[in-house]
Amino acid sequence: MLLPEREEFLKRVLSHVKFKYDHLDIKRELTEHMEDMYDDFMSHGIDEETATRLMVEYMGDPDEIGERLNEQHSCVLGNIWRAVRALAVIMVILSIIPAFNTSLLAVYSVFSGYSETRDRSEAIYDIKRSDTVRIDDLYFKLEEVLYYSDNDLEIRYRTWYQPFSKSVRWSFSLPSRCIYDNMGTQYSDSSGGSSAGLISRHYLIVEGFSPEAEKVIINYDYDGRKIYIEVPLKAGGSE
Amino acid sequence: MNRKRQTVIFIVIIFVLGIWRFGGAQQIYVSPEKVLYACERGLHYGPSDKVLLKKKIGKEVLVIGKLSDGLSVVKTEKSLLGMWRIGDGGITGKIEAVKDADVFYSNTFKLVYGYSKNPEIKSVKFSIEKVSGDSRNIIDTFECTVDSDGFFYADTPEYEYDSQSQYLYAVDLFGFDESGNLIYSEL
Amino acid sequence: MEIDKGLIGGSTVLMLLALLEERDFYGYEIIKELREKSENIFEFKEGTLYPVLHRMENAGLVKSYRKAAESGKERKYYSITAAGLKRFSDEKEQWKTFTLSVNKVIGGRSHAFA
Repeated sequence: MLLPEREEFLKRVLSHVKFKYDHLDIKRELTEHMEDMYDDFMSHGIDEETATRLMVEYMGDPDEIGERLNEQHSCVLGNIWRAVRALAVIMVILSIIPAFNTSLLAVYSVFSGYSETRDRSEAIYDIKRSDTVRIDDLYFKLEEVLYYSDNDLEIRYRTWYQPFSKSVRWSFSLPSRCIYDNMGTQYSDSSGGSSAGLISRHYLIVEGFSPEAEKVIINYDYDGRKIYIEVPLKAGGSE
Repeated sequence: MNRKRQTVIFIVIIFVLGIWRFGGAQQIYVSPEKVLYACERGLHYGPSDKVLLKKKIGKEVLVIGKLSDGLSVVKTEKSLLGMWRIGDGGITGKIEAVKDADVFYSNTFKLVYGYSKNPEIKSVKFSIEKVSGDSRNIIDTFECTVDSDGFFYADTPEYEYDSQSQYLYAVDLFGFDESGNLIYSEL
Repeated sequence: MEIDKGLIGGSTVLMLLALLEERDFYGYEIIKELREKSENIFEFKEGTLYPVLHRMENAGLVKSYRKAAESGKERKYYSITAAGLKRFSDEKEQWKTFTLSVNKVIGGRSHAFA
């Protein structure tokens, strides 16, 4: 039932209400009131034309109504409320999805590649791994072990922080003293490096790693934090 | 619920979640102690059993925590909104208790502090030495009691020295039992 | 939140609170109810009911929600809040005291709001 007189009236009322966000609600409430009035008139046998005229008249002065409504629908409060509400919603969502974030980060880390530290074509063989260990708020993921003809053993791994972790985010590199072989030899001649970023990619090259060793063992054990990984190697050359 | 109240509630939510969830991620924390614990987590040691000392100089607070095998020393600094973060210039971090007792001097905080692993040592005595090129001079001495955690400390005055070419150290640590007998000497 | 009685007539708010204390109403129903009780405060100015209701909602005395009315159509209902109930009982007391005083002065019966 679209009556131009009613629309006229509503438009005039709303023209005084500066906070547009509430226009829909106000319009709906007043429209429904006028509809109910109109229906009442009709059910009392009043003709359409009169009903329409009375409906608008009985509502009162649209300017007065509009101005008084405007006093109740402050733009300042209204906009602050909307902004703060949106921000609160965002905060709540962001706070709930750390778990989502962690897996997202894990997926991302699979796809981003390493920049070459050493020409990998020189490697006799390489072993791909995906062992993941968490110490405090840091994730450590072993990615690959490569063995070179000059008896260098390269360990490649990634580290990243649990999103929203509260600890101070220092970079973590595996100390070379943690590298052993299955015969108990501890290796200390090494070089290493890492890239910075949300996910750090690290490499550690241990020199003079025995070609007869059947396993390389990563054994980090400090103050209750442990990383222990055994990687079986292909002793005696490539397959 | 009307909008005024809702607005207040939303603001509370934003602040609480902001500080709780994201404050840590931005490396700011609600107190110097929280900075200490966050550092320990970041460096993969600890956490401290308790805070032994907090000393404030200006906007910085030095926090010393007790570890099972040493001390945890972190410099913190006041940041925005009354929150705290790591102090500039790096931190000491974990001091492993390798010797039976040891003493350290912080010029920034005008503080000497140390530990004793030997519960018989009830008091200690040590000196501050100024090293200038080849010459060494004792410029101050201290006597402290050791508390039940094996920790001791003292405030120091401002010492005159040229930080470019001269150095100050805490040296000559002696430990005494409750009768005053010398039972430990680092020499 | 204090309602400035001078501006909208404190008794209007009181009457609306009285209605809503019994049950929830939507705007047009309120007009009809008041008309039935011969209270024509909104006569020829039915639209001015809404600024009053909105003001009461801003003040936390009532809250609104949408619901299907008896006719089946959806309407915006108002219900009284705890704060509104408190305001109602406080104002009722004040009103009684006021009318008792007036009665004493002018003598005879007066239509005290009960």
